[in-house]
Amino acid sequence: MSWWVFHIIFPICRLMFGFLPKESLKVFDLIQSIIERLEALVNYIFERLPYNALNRLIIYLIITFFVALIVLLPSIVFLKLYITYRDRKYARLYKKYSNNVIQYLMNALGEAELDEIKKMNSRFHRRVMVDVLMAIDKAENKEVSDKIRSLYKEIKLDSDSRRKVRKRSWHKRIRGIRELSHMREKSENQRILDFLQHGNEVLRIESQIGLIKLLPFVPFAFLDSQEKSFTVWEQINVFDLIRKKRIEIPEFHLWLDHWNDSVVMFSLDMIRILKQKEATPKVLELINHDNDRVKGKVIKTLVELENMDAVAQLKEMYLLEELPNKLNIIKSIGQLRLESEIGFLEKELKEEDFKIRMECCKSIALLGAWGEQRLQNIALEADNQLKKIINHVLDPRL
Amino acid sequence: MNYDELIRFISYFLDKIFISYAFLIIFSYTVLSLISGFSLNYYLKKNSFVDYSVILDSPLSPSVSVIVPAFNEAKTIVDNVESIYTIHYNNFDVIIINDGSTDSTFQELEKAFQLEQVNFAVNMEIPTQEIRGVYKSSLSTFPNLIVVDKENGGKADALNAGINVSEKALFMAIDADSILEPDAVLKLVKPFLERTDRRVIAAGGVVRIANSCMIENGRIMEVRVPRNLLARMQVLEYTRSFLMGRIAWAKLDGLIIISGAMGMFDRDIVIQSGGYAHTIGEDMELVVRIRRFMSESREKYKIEYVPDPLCWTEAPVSIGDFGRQRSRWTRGTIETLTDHSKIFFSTRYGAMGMLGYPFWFIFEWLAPLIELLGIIYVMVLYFTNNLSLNFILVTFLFVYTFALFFSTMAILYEEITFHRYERRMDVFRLWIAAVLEPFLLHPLNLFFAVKGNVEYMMGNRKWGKMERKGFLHRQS
Repeated sequence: MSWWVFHIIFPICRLMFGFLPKESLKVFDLIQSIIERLEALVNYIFERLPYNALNRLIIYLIITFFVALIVLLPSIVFLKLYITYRDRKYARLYKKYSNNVIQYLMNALGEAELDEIKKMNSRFHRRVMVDVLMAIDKAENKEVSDKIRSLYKEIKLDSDSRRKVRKRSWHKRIRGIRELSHMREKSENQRILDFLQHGNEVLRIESQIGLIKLLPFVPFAFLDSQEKSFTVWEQINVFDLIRKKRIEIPEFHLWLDHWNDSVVMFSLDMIRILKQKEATPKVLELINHDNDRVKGKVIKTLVELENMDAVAQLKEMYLLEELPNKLNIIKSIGQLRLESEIGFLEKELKEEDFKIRMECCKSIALLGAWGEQRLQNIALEADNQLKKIINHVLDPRL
Repeated sequence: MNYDELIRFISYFLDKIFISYAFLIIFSYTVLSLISGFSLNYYLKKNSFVDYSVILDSPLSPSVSVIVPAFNEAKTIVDNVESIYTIHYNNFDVIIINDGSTDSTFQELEKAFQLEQVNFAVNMEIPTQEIRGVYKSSLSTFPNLIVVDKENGGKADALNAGINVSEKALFMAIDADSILEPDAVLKLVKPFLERTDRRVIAAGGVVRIANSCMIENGRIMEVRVPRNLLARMQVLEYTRSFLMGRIAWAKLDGLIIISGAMGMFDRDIVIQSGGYAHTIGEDMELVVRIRRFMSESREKYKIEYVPDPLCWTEAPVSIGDFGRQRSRWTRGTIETLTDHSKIFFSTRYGAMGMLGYPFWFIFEWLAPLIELLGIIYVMVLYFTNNLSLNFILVTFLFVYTFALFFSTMAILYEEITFHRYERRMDVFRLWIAAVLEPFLLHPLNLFFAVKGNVEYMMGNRKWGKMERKGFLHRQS
């Protein structure tokens, strides 16, 4: 008790009431003398300068920059040391927890170690543990996944993830969504659904991907309410998930009449890449779409679906189209290898536009040996530019 | 009004101009650095969730041409082409344009990549000097390597020839001596994929200085601060310019330059706006022109900037080379600003007209001239016994402390964001360079910027040659 009084309570009282020993006052003396000297310096400068507000402002700015420098320099050193320390700590913990989790999966983890993991309090440690669990779970073995999920819940990391989803900052929400969707935790689905129309694009993408994982039977339900532009970046991320996760792929023609053109274009791409032939009639309905970019995708999709009947319609609209779609139509004739359309292609060769001529020649060459022979015959009477184009198309190295 | 009163009146007036200008510069840079700080913070958080590998094998990813103009690069061209092939991307080709080199650049390429002439029909959408031949590599390891041999026409002409040969949606223009980070294309393509109602027409990335860095098989293996003091001070300059300037300008939609060392563009837009102009600052001129084209066509667009260090280049280490480079940059800036003077404070061109262009005009073109005027003014005051030495010292201290503070902030930004300089001593060396820079690099910059102005007035439009010292290669 007496130790407490002499070592804790008395010093605190002295600090609070000013009864400080002489030794302690020396520190304050030092600070006071520094301030006095600084004041003297400033006054010395002011005395030698014409007295006006500008001079005062300049002096105060110099002091501000100087003080900022004194703060910045140790900050840089501290930051460098801290980043190195943090990275090393992360690597050390990651290794340790990886071993623990692997032992747990092999039922070889001791009770004491499991208890230690369960009692883990530090946020940093818990974060490393989630990273480890998610990394190991990538093996996609059902038994392993189930055990990892049960460990995730045992350590109560699921409540951490839920808390993150409810945070205000978007990057914390994303971490939460990633963790919950990876562990198939559906309790925050409604909140994640709300993020689908969020202004932050990264949060929006993560919500879409999260929902695809969390709602495996209706993975693309989010497309129904897609108001913002569905960017190619989002599309690439979603498509990547289709490829890797082998989720239930929907019939994409369901979104061909969506009000959002970016969703329509994504659906057309998916129909084309996944070769969903049953979508052909609905794709054909879009052939006169107002948006030229959609129309371009329609033409490409029809070719990929090998729809010969569309050619007559494409030829009909050819004249009124802009150059990119004209090229798409010519290309489609070549890709469908329609010998019967040689007349149309030869007629278009008379156009002066380089790109149209090049595309026509490529389409003729696609007709095989017969087409190549035809090009050689055309070259005999062609102008200089066309000859060069034909030589280009017939060069096997290009 | 007598003579003395007149002198006092002029002096009072000039005092106010110089001081206001200094305050305005300091204010602008402070605001820009704050905006950069917020942008960097957002980017880093956003980037921590991005998996760039999804772009790699996606059928939805755009195709890209990497265009490399080369003039008398015989010593390094083969290494440089090999280094380009270390990039991670699938749908791309590489187009090297030998711009009428007088050394053995073409022969080196021909030998190393077993080039064969092909019947390539070039669509001359942008007029260029005559193309002597188009070649392709017969090696299976370089399937998409195209070499264009043409008459000399300058860097802009060579780039235009490359654009004509390219058949891809996007092109990336790089210098022959640029070393790309493996993920440079992936990171530059991403902004184009994020297009919403505003079309992304160009994207730039941060260029860093590679002097003294360790390079192995065309890749930067170890980042070091240059041993040469001139190059080291340029590292600081680049860090300030890219991390604290251009990122903020991109955020404000006022960016008017993407470094010629590396930039990605929408090929269609570049062709529609006429390609690269035959100027000495072709990189800046192109950005201004495509922006003008989009504004005048009333199309929504944006230019993006990726804060990651994506490209490494060699900085001049001799004062001669440095001077030629800086005077060329000044002439290029003046040429672009005068050619597009219509933009100046025009609301039609949005942030470019109201912010970007005026900033470059007032703080890039006029800054060295105003500084020179200030020096002359101080000398006149000194010789007429009207100078307060104390005031000059205080003003100098004010500018110096700000410069040092600003450079230290740049080092802090680098440490918070990408911390590429792993050795602690490197950061210390950088800071020492910041202490010395106002006394050593700044006077040089001022001199060569003024020289550039004079040369521009005299009609000098020459590019100038920089002698390459080469990079440090790790012994295998």
